[in-house]
Amino acid sequence: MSTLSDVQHRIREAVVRGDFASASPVLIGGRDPISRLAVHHRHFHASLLDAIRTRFPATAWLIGDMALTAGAQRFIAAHPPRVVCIAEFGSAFPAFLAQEPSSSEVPYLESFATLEWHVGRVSVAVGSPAIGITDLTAIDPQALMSAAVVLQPGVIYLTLEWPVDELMRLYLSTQAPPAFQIHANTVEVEVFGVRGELKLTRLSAAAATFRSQLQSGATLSAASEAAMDCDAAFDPGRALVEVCDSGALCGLSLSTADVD
Amino acid sequence: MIWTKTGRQPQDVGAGIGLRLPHLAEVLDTKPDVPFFEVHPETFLANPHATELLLAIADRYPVSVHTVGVSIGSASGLDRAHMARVKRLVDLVNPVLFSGHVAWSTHAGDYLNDLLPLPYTEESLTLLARHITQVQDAFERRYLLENPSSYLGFADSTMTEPEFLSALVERTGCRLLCDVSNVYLSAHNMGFDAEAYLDALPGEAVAELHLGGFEAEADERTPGTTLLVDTHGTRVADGVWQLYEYAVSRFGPVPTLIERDNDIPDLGTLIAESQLARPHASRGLAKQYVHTQ
Repeated sequence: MSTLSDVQHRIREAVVRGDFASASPVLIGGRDPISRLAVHHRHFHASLLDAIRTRFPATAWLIGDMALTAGAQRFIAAHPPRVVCIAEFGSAFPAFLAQEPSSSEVPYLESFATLEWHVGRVSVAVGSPAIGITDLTAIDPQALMSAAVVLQPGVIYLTLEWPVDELMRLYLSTQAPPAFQIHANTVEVEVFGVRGELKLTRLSAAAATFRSQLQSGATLSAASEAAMDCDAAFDPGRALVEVCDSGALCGLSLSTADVD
Repeated sequence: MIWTKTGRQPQDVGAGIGLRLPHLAEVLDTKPDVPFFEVHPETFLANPHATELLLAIADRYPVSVHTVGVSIGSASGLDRAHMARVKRLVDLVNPVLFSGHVAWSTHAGDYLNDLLPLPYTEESLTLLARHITQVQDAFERRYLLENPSSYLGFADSTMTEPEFLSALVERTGCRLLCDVSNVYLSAHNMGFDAEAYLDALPGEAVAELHLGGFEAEADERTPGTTLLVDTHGTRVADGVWQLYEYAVSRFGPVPTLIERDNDIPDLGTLIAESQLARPHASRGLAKQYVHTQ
């Protein structure tokens, strides 16, 4: 008698790899149990293919549904999910897709698919009431500079090797210009999503550093210094106003000494 | 007029519906007359906006939580991290029922996104009993186990599915979610008597019924025969409604749910289908009681 672990390994090989031979001896059902085990093999691949296509509609728009489907099928066979929540499956797909031979003509594909992955992730975020710049005016400036802030959970900062945020805007606006030129050029992009709404904002390197430092818990003072390392002319006060105006700031943590 | 057996009179029993993402906002906007909703927690774990809507719905309606990824039958053990995420949601929703499947879907860290079959052996029974106890302890709730839709069996099985389920109930104190469509489908595919299967279940343990759609496809190796495939993509078949009446006559007016996971129709169509359960349940209940006067 096979152990349960052995039985499940054999079925795993059939479901993921289509290797039905080792499972055959342990199964019964109909004249050919293998043809019935194929129901599970088909479901595994079809359901995950559907998940990838649902997650990357803009990438399908960019390279065509056939190319996306072919890449997704190979991705699923090579990298079965390690997560139970299928909405979280596919984070490695952009890099995998970019390595497909047919992708060589689209050098910005990985950047675009990566952007789409994060767009999908943050578009379902929820937000908290935003803190405006006027809410900060009552705080002693020195105390404010040593404070850490909290940004909305639907905010993410990406460094992209191609300016694919422009392409994404085209996709989201459903406009198709007669021609579109794109050149390799590293860009910093803030993706801000809340309850299905989405905003893409191109940032300078210094502003992106400032905001991503804030997001990772740095104080306003430390984030400002990091940004000024990028650009000596960086203006922290103005940058903080812009963060507040964008609605991204939703919390502030003053040090105990400052509160006292 | 005196009704015997349970002493309760036949009731009008409505059915709840599986609540899927496309319908969340509409449910909140229109507040339809639905007895309860059932959700798959795995749909909400990576979707805070949907969770926010679900919690608003849970304030207004009874909600049942039906896990699809707990993988109670995995030889490689339960995924504690996943369970912790599900528990956080369950604690927020505070469901009226909490259920999952007699199946496995993870193996050595891979999630196979399907409900895969188990051999009914002493080894499986011991493993599932241990996992069910761990789930019930972790969630501090009684777990309802759903019978699978089967295309396959195992040469090594030493007990029937009802025997296996009965033993799990006895060992763990869990309850059963009887998916009537799965019984119908499995009986067709595996060649057993569906009513005899229902008769063999411990009736007092059945706490919920499920109804869903399936599709017939040719059984390639057996010309002239069909295999019923559990798709949850069509309306409930006529034969299943008949079996549902029998199930209600056996188990009484337990909560019933209509499931649709593929080709999801508009909310109104789903609600209309759920309302078909009412006359069938009434007929089933009428059969349950012996008219003595």
